[in-house]
Amino acid sequence: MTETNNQKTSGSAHLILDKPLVSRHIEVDIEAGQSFSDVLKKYITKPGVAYVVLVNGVVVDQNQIIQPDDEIRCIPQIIGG
Amino acid sequence: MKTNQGLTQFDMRPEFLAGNSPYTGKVLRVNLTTGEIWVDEHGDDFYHKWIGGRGLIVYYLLKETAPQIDPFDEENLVIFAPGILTGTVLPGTGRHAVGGKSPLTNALASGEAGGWWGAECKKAGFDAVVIQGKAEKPVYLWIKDGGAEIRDASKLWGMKTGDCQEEIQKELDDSKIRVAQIGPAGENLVRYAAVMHDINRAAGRSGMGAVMGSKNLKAVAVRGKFNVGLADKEMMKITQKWINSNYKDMMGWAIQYGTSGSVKGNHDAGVTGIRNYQEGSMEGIEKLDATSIFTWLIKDRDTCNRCAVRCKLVAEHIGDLNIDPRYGGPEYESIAGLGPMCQINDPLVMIKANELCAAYGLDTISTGGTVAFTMECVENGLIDGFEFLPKFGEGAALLESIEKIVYRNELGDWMAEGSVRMAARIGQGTDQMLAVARGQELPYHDPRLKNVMGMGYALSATGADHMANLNDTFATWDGADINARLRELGMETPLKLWGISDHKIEAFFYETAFKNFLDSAVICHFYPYEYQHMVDALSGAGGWDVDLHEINTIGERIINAARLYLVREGFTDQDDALSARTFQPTKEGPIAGKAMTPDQLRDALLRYYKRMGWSEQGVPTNEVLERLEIR
Repeated sequence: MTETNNQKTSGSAHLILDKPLVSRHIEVDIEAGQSFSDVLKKYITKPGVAYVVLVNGVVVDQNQIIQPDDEIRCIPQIIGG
Repeated sequence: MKTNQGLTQFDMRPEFLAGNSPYTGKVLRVNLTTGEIWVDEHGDDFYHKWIGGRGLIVYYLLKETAPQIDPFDEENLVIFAPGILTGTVLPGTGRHAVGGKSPLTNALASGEAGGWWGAECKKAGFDAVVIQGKAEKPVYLWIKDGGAEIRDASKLWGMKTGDCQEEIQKELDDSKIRVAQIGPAGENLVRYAAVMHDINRAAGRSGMGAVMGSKNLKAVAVRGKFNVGLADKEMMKITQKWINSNYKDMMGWAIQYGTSGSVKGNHDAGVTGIRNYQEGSMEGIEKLDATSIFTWLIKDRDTCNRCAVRCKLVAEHIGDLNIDPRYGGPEYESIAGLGPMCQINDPLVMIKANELCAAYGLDTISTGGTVAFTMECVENGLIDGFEFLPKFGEGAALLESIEKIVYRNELGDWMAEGSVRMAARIGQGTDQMLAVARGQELPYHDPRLKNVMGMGYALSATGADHMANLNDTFATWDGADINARLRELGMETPLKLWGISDHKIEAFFYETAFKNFLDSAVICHFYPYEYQHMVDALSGAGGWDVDLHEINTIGERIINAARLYLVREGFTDQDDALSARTFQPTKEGPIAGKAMTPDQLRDALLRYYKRMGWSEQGVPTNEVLERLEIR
């Protein structure tokens, strides 16, 4: 997992997405070196959902750069009550 | 004072009777000491300026209460305030606010509740109800079709909310009467007692239930025959059509599970407070999530006036612990407070605790926070002298704690005062265990993850509040409604997750203005309305010619008026703070090692003061107050 915003790397990371962010369970290998937000906007297109990005179980900023071997999950967020 | 004297009747404005106005122009006034009932009449200027809801509450507190009164002084006000849009045809407007001076925080109390009470109050002919004084014996207020009456409530005193509502409806022979009321918690002056509506809809925060109890006011029952009108029905249809076309997609989360659908996700993302905000994860959290409780405990769904979403849960169970469906079901905040905060992962216990809070009239957030704080004190051997000492993870201890709080038995008498007063009583460094802001227990959105939310807790005039706030984790995604609003204002989106940049302070400035507008209009925060929708809605409702900047100005006015109230009540910039626990990182879990420092928070506050045009001491300047026409 990266600690800097601009680091560019090569290799692959693993993305896992579930409902309700996507219509069905997705597991896919993706290229490292891109920002989380750039990658995720291609996969999560449903309106009305927000999410937190976790890499290896730890919360990261979506503007950070994906590193090789990252396991990426997204947790949907709602507020209220 | 005499009771049961019949309704004192007031004439309604012709525009309201004709269905051309969303407000009646009349605020019902009641003095419980003298028994007097009268109305304040307000013109268009008043509604343009204060809208209703929180705005109206702050207006009356500043105008009519003396500075620094005790919240249980009979001079304190209990204000029920629907807003300009409450009761209209616009979806999401089945809400109203309840406020006064808080006995928990000594600051502003202003909480919103859903259901039907607010719309029924407007239909009964009143834009708000302002109650002062103290009755010599238990009473309730009966409001019907432009009239009001103070009635004897001696036989209702001591009843749980479900029984009390049924009794009032039976006494007045109308099952459609809407009842706002307190349970035994409010009667016994528990400082975080809620005002309950329709049995299970709470104006929960800040203890207005106890203020009602201090006045011997058990309930306010309403029934109305008037239609809440519109100045321009065609204009209102613009926003109606937009939300009706989009809510199924944009509010799918609420339609599916309500807020209970966020329990496991929030836990996994580090949002939820666990074991009094000490831990980063809890075993068995999935048992509390909607995906689990819907399979065996949630039997129905419920909704509010003018809402097709039906996000409210109805739980029912017969077994070792019976669950009474009259008391609805738990929201995310209630699940988090009565679950992981106390290390409870048994859904039946958690839902029973939620039922008890609704039946006795308790705020679930402060109840969970105070019980968890007590459990940590007990775990560390800092409380003794009591036979009953609750421990983390013990479901029976949580349920017994609630009973003891409500009736102020043994340790419950301490817990009924809230965690801050408990820490002051116990000493021994227990202030380091507090998770509070301005004396109120934190909602379950961890400021160690959501830094701007934390700043919002510190600034909130009502004590820690997650609703009139900015949600950091929402704002990192461009599709969130907050970002649509920010783009309407020309701001760049999305926001970064961590920290409190100037960009995030600018977003907080606008978002809190918008949320204060919503809490005054009064509109459900779950609806993804943008500025233009509110501009069109105000035009449709009142025939007003406003733009999005006027929406912000209204919100900014209410924030500044509330700040002025805080200053008047003796609060300073030193009270814009978070308690110690929020600066202590967890050792494990999704946000391990993360926390703001007190210096980082102070720096952010100073930048916010500057953005607001306040002094470095956080006091609104005369220039700001004059611009906003506050004085």
